[in-house]
Amino acid sequence: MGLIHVHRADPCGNAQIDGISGFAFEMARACKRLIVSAEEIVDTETIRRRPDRTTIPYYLVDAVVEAPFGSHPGEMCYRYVRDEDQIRSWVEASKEPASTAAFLQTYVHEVRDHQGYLALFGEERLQRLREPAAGRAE
Amino acid sequence: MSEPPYNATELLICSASRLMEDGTTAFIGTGIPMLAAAVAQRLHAPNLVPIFEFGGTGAILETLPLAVGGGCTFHRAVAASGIRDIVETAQRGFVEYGFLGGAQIDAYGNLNTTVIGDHDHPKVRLPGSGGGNDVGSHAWRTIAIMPHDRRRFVDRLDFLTTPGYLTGPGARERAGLPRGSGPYRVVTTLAILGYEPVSKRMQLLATQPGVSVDQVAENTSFELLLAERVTENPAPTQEELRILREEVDAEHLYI
Repeated sequence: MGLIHVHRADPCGNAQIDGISGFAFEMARACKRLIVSAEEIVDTETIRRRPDRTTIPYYLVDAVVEAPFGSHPGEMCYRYVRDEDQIRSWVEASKEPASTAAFLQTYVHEVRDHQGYLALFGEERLQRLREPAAGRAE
Repeated sequence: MSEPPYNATELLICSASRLMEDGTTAFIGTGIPMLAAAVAQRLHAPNLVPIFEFGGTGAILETLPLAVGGGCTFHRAVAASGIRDIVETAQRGFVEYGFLGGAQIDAYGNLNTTVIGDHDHPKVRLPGSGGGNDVGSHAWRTIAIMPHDRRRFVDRLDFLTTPGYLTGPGARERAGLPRGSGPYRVVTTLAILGYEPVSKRMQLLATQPGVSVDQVAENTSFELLLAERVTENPAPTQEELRILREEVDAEHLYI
């Protein structure tokens, strides 16, 4: 089972990644089942306008999920930057088994869904991550 | 002896930065190589083409990358591709320098970034190869950057992650690796080292400021060859330190 987060996908699963693609192309083709989550769901016409950006065509995809900020606390190039505070708190928490468990409880096990996860941070904090930073790819 | 006006990390970064040659392609691993490349682009190598594992080629390092997949690794870059393309680029001989870290290195420049202790019952599990093996296999000249002590400069690696000269002259070629490629320099907290051309064993080229040849030998578990003339590596200049502290890592995430 593969899970890949992309910039945009249409309801059929045609998925586009902006910037570098790491190993998404190969992974999409290597897994038996693939779930794509996307910053936004767009119509197929939007995909057709830039077919060169389609890293993952629909026939590889078993399910599509709309998940804005689906890369949090990581970054999504041209959209938002890494949440350094959250990454730092994970690094701190992961030093001891008890604090690791507490962290996972708060941010993984106790949240109902992705919206519930994002609500832990709030719109204001997420908005700050969207603001372009000097020297980063815009 | 009074404390030098720089710390060990700053010394490693500035020493490595000087080995980055203008107009060349250089595979840049996470951490110190990223800082060294950013310093080099601002000082003597504005046309250095940094290559990052996840696909960034030729970025202008205006903001410090923190990971090989971050946006800064292709900021104003000439190409943004992916891992397969980057590794193939190295295999085709387009990567001139490769900058790597490691937990252990031996006399032939072989590197371990996988495990300390027995592989199946490790004392410490390390991050693994990442792109390290590919870089050590295919870059023309590999440069290792690491702190210098007996636990790191070992006679025998606990695990061979990335090939240096393997068991000695001819071994890389026998393993199918490109003729003329291999380890080139080791930048450490105590010294700059190279490889004796015939035996392919590590040899001391220069000591870091205030360090004696004996100290380097004492902190190396294998027998250390000496270059005909061992020099002293110049200390980081004020300009290098200013750029590093005020521009490259102003938030002091590394230094």
